[in-house]
Amino acid sequence: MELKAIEKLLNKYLEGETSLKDEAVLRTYFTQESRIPEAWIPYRQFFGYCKEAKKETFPVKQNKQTKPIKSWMLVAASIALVFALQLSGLFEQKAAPFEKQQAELAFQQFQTQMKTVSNHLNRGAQKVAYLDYWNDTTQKLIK
Amino acid sequence: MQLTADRSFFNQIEEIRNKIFRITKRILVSQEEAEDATQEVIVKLWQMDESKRNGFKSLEAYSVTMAKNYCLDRLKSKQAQNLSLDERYSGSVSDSLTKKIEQRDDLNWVGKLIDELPEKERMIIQLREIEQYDFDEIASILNLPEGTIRVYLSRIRKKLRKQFLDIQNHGIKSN
Repeated sequence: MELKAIEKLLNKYLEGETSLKDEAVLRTYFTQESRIPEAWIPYRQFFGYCKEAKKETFPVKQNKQTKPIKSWMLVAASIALVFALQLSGLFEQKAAPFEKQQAELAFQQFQTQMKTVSNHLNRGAQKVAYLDYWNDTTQKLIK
Repeated sequence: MQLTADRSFFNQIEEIRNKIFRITKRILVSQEEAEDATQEVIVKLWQMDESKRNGFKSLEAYSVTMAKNYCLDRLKSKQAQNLSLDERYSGSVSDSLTKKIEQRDDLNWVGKLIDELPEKERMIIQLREIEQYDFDEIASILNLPEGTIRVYLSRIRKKLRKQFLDIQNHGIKSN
Protein backbone atom coordinates (compact mmCIF):
# COMPACT_ATOMS: atom_id res chain seq x y z
CA MET A 1 0.00 0.00 0.00
CA GLU A 2 2.67 2.44 1.04
CA LEU A 3 4.94 1.39 -1.79
CA LYS A 4 2.22 2.31 -4.25
CA ALA A 5 1.90 5.74 -2.71
CA ILE A 6 5.65 6.28 -2.81
CA GLU A 7 5.83 5.13 -6.40
CA LYS A 8 3.13 7.58 -7.34
CA LEU A 9 5.00 10.38 -5.60
CA LEU A 10 8.23 9.38 -7.31
CA ASN A 11 6.61 9.65 -10.71
CA LYS A 12 5.31 13.08 -9.82
CA TYR A 13 8.74 13.93 -8.48
CA LEU A 14 10.47 13.05 -11.72
CA GLU A 15 8.05 15.29 -13.59
CA GLY A 16 8.84 18.20 -11.30
CA GLU A 17 5.29 18.25 -9.99
CA THR A 18 5.80 17.46 -6.32
CA SER A 19 5.29 20.08 -3.64
CA LEU A 20 7.74 20.61 -0.80
CA LYS A 21 5.38 18.58 1.37
CA ASP A 22 5.44 15.66 -1.05
CA GLU A 23 9.20 15.85 -1.18
CA ALA A 24 9.37 15.82 2.60
CA VAL A 25 7.39 12.56 2.56
CA LEU A 26 9.85 11.08 0.08
CA ARG A 27 12.83 12.32 2.07
CA THR A 28 11.53 10.78 5.26
CA TYR A 29 10.74 7.51 3.54
CA PHE A 30 14.11 7.16 1.87
CA THR A 31 16.25 8.25 4.77
CA GLN A 32 14.41 6.30 7.47
CA GLU A 33 13.05 3.17 5.85
CA SER A 34 15.64 0.41 6.08
CA ARG A 35 14.11 -1.94 3.53
CA ILE A 36 13.33 -0.45 0.17
CA PRO A 37 13.03 -1.97 -3.31
CA GLU A 38 16.44 -2.32 -4.91
CA ALA A 39 15.50 -0.16 -7.86
CA TRP A 40 15.01 2.74 -5.47
CA ILE A 41 18.45 2.66 -3.90
CA PRO A 42 19.64 5.60 -6.02
CA TYR A 43 16.86 7.69 -4.51
CA ARG A 44 17.99 6.79 -1.05
CA GLN A 45 21.53 7.86 -1.88
CA PHE A 46 20.32 11.07 -3.40
CA PHE A 47 17.98 12.06 -0.57
CA GLY A 48 20.56 10.99 1.97
CA TYR A 49 23.12 13.20 0.32
CA CYS A 50 20.75 16.18 0.23
CA LYS A 51 19.97 15.78 3.90
CA GLU A 52 23.64 15.72 4.81
CA ALA A 53 24.51 18.57 2.46
CA LYS A 54 22.03 20.84 4.23
CA LYS A 55 24.00 20.46 7.44
CA GLU A 56 27.16 22.01 6.05
CA THR A 57 28.03 25.27 7.76
CA PHE A 58 30.37 28.12 7.03
CA PRO A 59 33.74 27.22 8.51
CA VAL A 60 34.35 29.69 11.29
CA LYS A 61 38.04 30.22 11.74
CA GLN A 62 39.12 30.79 15.31
CA ASN A 63 41.18 33.89 14.92
CA LYS A 64 43.20 34.00 18.07
CA GLN A 65 43.52 37.69 18.57
CA THR A 66 45.14 38.09 21.94
CA LYS A 67 43.92 41.31 23.39
CA PRO A 68 46.58 43.25 25.29
CA ILE A 69 46.29 42.34 28.95
CA LYS A 70 45.99 45.40 31.11
CA SER A 71 47.78 45.39 34.45
CA TRP A 72 44.54 46.09 36.33
CA MET A 73 43.09 42.92 34.80
CA LEU A 74 45.88 40.87 36.34
CA VAL A 75 45.37 42.50 39.72
CA ALA A 76 41.64 41.87 39.53
CA ALA A 77 42.21 38.26 38.48
CA SER A 78 44.60 37.58 41.34
CA ILE A 79 42.19 39.14 43.84
CA ALA A 80 39.36 37.04 42.48
CA LEU A 81 41.53 33.95 42.70
CA VAL A 82 42.50 34.58 46.30
CA PHE A 83 38.88 35.28 47.14
CA ALA A 84 37.77 32.07 45.45
CA LEU A 85 40.39 30.09 47.31
CA GLN A 86 39.24 31.56 50.59
CA LEU A 87 35.70 30.59 49.75
CA SER A 88 36.72 27.05 48.90
CA GLY A 89 38.63 27.03 52.18
CA LEU A 90 35.30 27.38 53.98
CA PHE A 91 34.09 24.20 52.40
CA GLU A 92 37.33 22.42 53.13
CA GLN A 93 36.58 22.48 56.87
CA LYS A 94 34.49 19.37 56.53
CA ALA A 95 37.48 17.38 55.28
CA ALA A 96 39.56 15.06 57.48
CA PRO A 97 41.92 16.89 59.91
CA PHE A 98 45.11 15.74 58.29
CA GLU A 99 43.90 16.53 54.85
CA LYS A 100 42.65 19.82 56.20
CA GLN A 101 46.03 20.68 57.62
CA GLN A 102 47.73 19.83 54.40
CA ALA A 103 45.23 21.83 52.47
CA GLU A 104 45.55 24.78 54.80
CA LEU A 105 49.30 24.70 54.53
CA ALA A 106 49.11 24.56 50.77
CA PHE A 107 46.54 27.28 50.79
CA GLN A 108 48.63 29.53 53.01
CA GLN A 109 51.65 28.99 50.84
CA PHE A 110 49.61 29.71 47.80
CA GLN A 111 48.13 32.77 49.42
CA THR A 112 51.53 34.23 50.26
CA GLN A 113 52.63 33.48 46.74
CA MET A 114 49.58 35.16 45.34
CA LYS A 115 50.18 38.12 47.62
CA THR A 116 53.70 38.42 46.31
CA VAL A 117 52.41 38.23 42.75
CA SER A 118 49.78 40.78 43.57
CA ASN A 119 52.32 43.10 45.15
CA HIS A 120 54.52 42.87 42.13
CA LEU A 121 51.58 43.54 39.91
CA ASN A 122 50.60 46.51 42.00
CA ARG A 123 54.10 47.82 41.70
CA GLY A 124 53.82 47.27 37.95
CA ALA A 125 50.53 49.13 37.90
CA GLN A 126 52.08 51.99 39.81
CA LYS A 127 54.88 52.13 37.31
CA VAL A 128 52.35 52.18 34.50
CA ALA A 129 50.48 54.98 36.23
CA TYR A 130 53.75 56.82 36.63
CA LEU A 131 54.49 56.30 32.93
CA ASP A 132 51.06 57.70 32.08
CA TYR A 133 51.76 60.69 34.25
CA TRP A 134 55.14 61.15 32.61
CA ASN A 135 53.55 60.81 29.20
CA ASP A 136 50.93 63.43 30.04
CA THR A 137 53.57 65.83 31.23
CA THR A 138 55.65 65.35 28.10
CA GLN A 139 52.56 65.98 26.02
CA LYS A 140 51.96 69.17 27.93
CA LEU A 141 55.56 70.21 27.48
CA ILE A 142 55.44 69.51 23.76
CA LYS A 143 52.36 71.65 23.47
CA MET B 1 25.10 50.75 20.92
CA GLN B 2 26.92 50.00 17.68
CA LEU B 3 28.24 46.82 19.22
CA THR B 4 24.84 45.48 20.18
CA ALA B 5 23.53 46.32 16.73
CA ASP B 6 26.40 44.36 15.21
CA ARG B 7 25.79 41.42 17.44
CA SER B 8 22.13 41.25 16.55
CA PHE B 9 23.09 41.49 12.88
CA PHE B 10 25.42 38.50 13.21
CA ASN B 11 22.82 36.48 15.09
CA GLN B 12 20.29 37.28 12.43
CA ILE B 13 22.72 36.47 9.67
CA GLU B 14 24.18 33.23 10.96
CA GLU B 15 21.77 30.81 9.34
CA ILE B 16 21.74 32.91 6.20
CA ARG B 17 25.51 32.81 6.12
CA ASN B 18 25.49 29.02 6.19
CA LYS B 19 22.97 28.95 3.37
CA ILE B 20 24.98 31.40 1.33
CA PHE B 21 28.07 29.33 1.88
CA ARG B 22 26.41 26.13 0.69
CA ILE B 23 24.94 27.85 -2.34
CA THR B 24 28.14 29.64 -3.34
CA LYS B 25 30.07 26.41 -2.88
CA ARG B 26 27.66 24.64 -5.18
CA ILE B 27 27.99 27.30 -7.85
CA LEU B 28 31.73 27.88 -7.60
CA VAL B 29 32.64 24.23 -6.80
CA SER B 30 35.49 25.42 -4.61
CA GLN B 31 35.62 25.60 -0.87
CA GLU B 32 38.01 28.50 -0.82
CA GLU B 33 36.18 30.59 -3.37
CA ALA B 34 32.90 29.90 -1.62
CA GLU B 35 34.35 31.14 1.66
CA ASP B 36 35.54 34.32 -0.01
CA ALA B 37 32.23 34.84 -1.78
CA THR B 38 30.30 34.31 1.44
CA GLN B 39 32.45 36.83 3.29
CA GLU B 40 32.00 39.28 0.47
CA VAL B 41 28.21 39.00 0.54
CA ILE B 42 28.06 39.24 4.33
CA VAL B 43 30.22 42.37 4.30
CA LYS B 44 27.93 43.93 1.71
CA LEU B 45 24.92 43.13 3.87
CA TRP B 46 26.63 44.47 6.94
CA GLN B 47 27.58 47.73 5.28
CA MET B 48 24.00 48.27 4.24
CA ASP B 49 21.85 50.76 6.13
CA GLU B 50 20.04 49.02 8.93
CA SER B 51 16.73 50.52 7.87
CA LYS B 52 17.25 49.24 4.36
CA ARG B 53 18.27 45.83 5.62
CA ASN B 54 15.23 45.54 7.83
CA GLY B 55 13.01 46.78 5.03
CA PHE B 56 13.32 43.62 2.94
CA LYS B 57 10.40 41.28 2.83
CA SER B 58 12.89 38.47 3.11
CA LEU B 59 16.49 39.26 3.93
CA GLU B 60 17.31 35.66 3.18
CA ALA B 61 15.92 35.71 -0.36
CA TYR B 62 17.67 39.01 -1.01
CA SER B 63 20.99 37.66 0.31
CA VAL B 64 20.75 34.46 -1.68
CA THR B 65 20.02 36.42 -4.86
CA MET B 66 22.99 38.63 -4.13
CA ALA B 67 25.20 35.60 -3.56
CA LYS B 68 24.03 34.03 -6.79
CA ASN B 69 24.76 37.17 -8.79
CA TYR B 70 28.14 37.49 -7.18
CA CYS B 71 29.03 33.89 -8.04
CA LEU B 72 27.87 34.19 -11.63
CA ASP B 73 30.05 37.27 -12.01
CA ARG B 74 32.95 35.33 -10.59
CA LEU B 75 32.36 32.47 -12.99
CA LYS B 76 32.23 34.89 -15.88
CA SER B 77 35.62 36.28 -15.03
CA LYS B 78 38.20 34.03 -16.62
CA GLN B 79 40.38 33.97 -13.57
CA ALA B 80 37.78 32.28 -11.42
CA GLN B 81 37.07 29.77 -14.14
CA ASN B 82 40.69 28.71 -14.30
CA LEU B 83 40.90 28.41 -10.58
CA SER B 84 37.85 26.23 -10.17
CA LEU B 85 38.93 24.02 -13.06
CA ASP B 86 42.38 23.63 -11.58
CA GLU B 87 40.96 22.63 -8.27
CA ARG B 88 38.57 20.15 -9.78
CA TYR B 89 41.24 18.47 -11.86
CA SER B 90 43.87 18.38 -9.19
CA GLY B 91 41.28 16.74 -6.97
CA SER B 92 40.39 13.99 -9.40
CA VAL B 93 43.94 13.32 -10.57
CA SER B 94 45.39 12.90 -7.13
CA ASP B 95 42.61 10.56 -6.01
CA SER B 96 43.96 7.09 -5.69
CA LEU B 97 41.91 4.16 -6.85
CA THR B 98 41.08 2.97 -3.37
CA LYS B 99 39.92 6.42 -2.47
CA LYS B 100 37.63 6.42 -5.47
CA ILE B 101 36.15 3.12 -4.43
CA GLU B 102 35.63 4.44 -0.94
CA GLN B 103 33.93 7.47 -2.35
CA ARG B 104 31.49 5.33 -4.24
CA ASP B 105 30.19 4.03 -0.94
CA ASP B 106 30.34 7.44 0.57
CA LEU B 107 27.62 9.94 -0.18
CA ASN B 108 30.35 12.14 -1.55
CA TRP B 109 30.08 10.83 -5.07
CA VAL B 110 26.49 12.05 -5.25
CA GLY B 111 27.85 15.54 -4.66
CA LYS B 112 30.44 15.01 -7.37
CA LEU B 113 27.76 14.02 -9.87
CA ILE B 114 25.81 17.16 -8.99
CA ASP B 115 28.90 19.31 -9.30
CA GLU B 116 29.42 18.07 -12.82
CA LEU B 117 26.09 19.52 -13.93
CA PRO B 118 25.98 22.91 -15.68
CA GLU B 119 25.87 25.84 -13.27
CA LYS B 120 22.19 26.64 -13.72
CA GLU B 121 21.25 23.05 -12.95
CA ARG B 122 23.56 23.00 -9.95
CA MET B 123 21.83 26.08 -8.60
CA ILE B 124 18.37 24.63 -9.09
CA ILE B 125 19.32 21.36 -7.39
CA GLN B 126 20.87 23.24 -4.49
CA LEU B 127 17.93 25.59 -4.00
CA ARG B 128 15.24 22.96 -4.29
CA GLU B 129 16.64 19.63 -3.10
CA ILE B 130 19.00 20.87 -0.44
CA GLU B 131 17.73 24.26 0.75
CA GLN B 132 14.11 23.29 0.04
CA TYR B 133 12.89 26.57 -1.32
CA ASP B 134 9.43 26.98 -2.79
CA PHE B 135 9.11 27.29 -6.55
CA ASP B 136 8.13 30.95 -6.34
CA GLU B 137 11.21 31.70 -4.21
CA ILE B 138 13.51 29.90 -6.64
CA ALA B 139 11.83 31.72 -9.52
CA SER B 140 12.52 35.09 -7.94
CA ILE B 141 16.09 34.23 -6.96
CA LEU B 142 16.99 32.94 -10.42
CA ASN B 143 14.75 35.42 -12.22
CA LEU B 144 13.07 32.66 -14.22
CA PRO B 145 9.39 31.70 -14.54
CA GLU B 146 8.17 28.96 -12.19
CA GLY B 147 7.22 26.74 -15.12
CA THR B 148 10.77 26.87 -16.44
CA ILE B 149 12.12 25.86 -13.05
CA ARG B 150 9.82 22.85 -12.96
CA VAL B 151 10.87 21.81 -16.45
CA TYR B 152 14.53 22.15 -15.51
CA LEU B 153 14.05 20.27 -12.29
CA SER B 154 12.28 17.40 -14.00
CA ARG B 155 15.05 17.17 -16.56
CA ILE B 156 17.78 17.22 -13.93
CA ARG B 157 16.06 14.65 -11.74
CA LYS B 158 15.67 12.27 -14.66
CA LYS B 159 19.23 12.84 -15.77
CA LEU B 160 20.63 12.20 -12.29
CA ARG B 161 18.46 9.12 -11.88
CA LYS B 162 19.83 7.71 -15.11
CA GLN B 163 23.39 8.41 -14.06
CA PHE B 164 22.80 6.79 -10.67
CA LEU B 165 21.34 3.71 -12.29
CA ASP B 166 24.25 3.52 -14.73
CA ILE B 167 26.71 3.61 -11.87
CA GLN B 168 24.75 1.03 -9.94
CA ASN B 169 24.45 -1.34 -12.90
CA HIS B 170 28.07 -0.88 -13.74
CA GLY B 171 28.97 -1.81 -10.20
CA ILE B 172 26.91 -4.99 -10.36
CA LYS B 173 28.36 -6.03 -13.72
CA SER B 174 31.94 -5.51 -12.65
CA ASN B 175 31.37 -7.74 -9.61
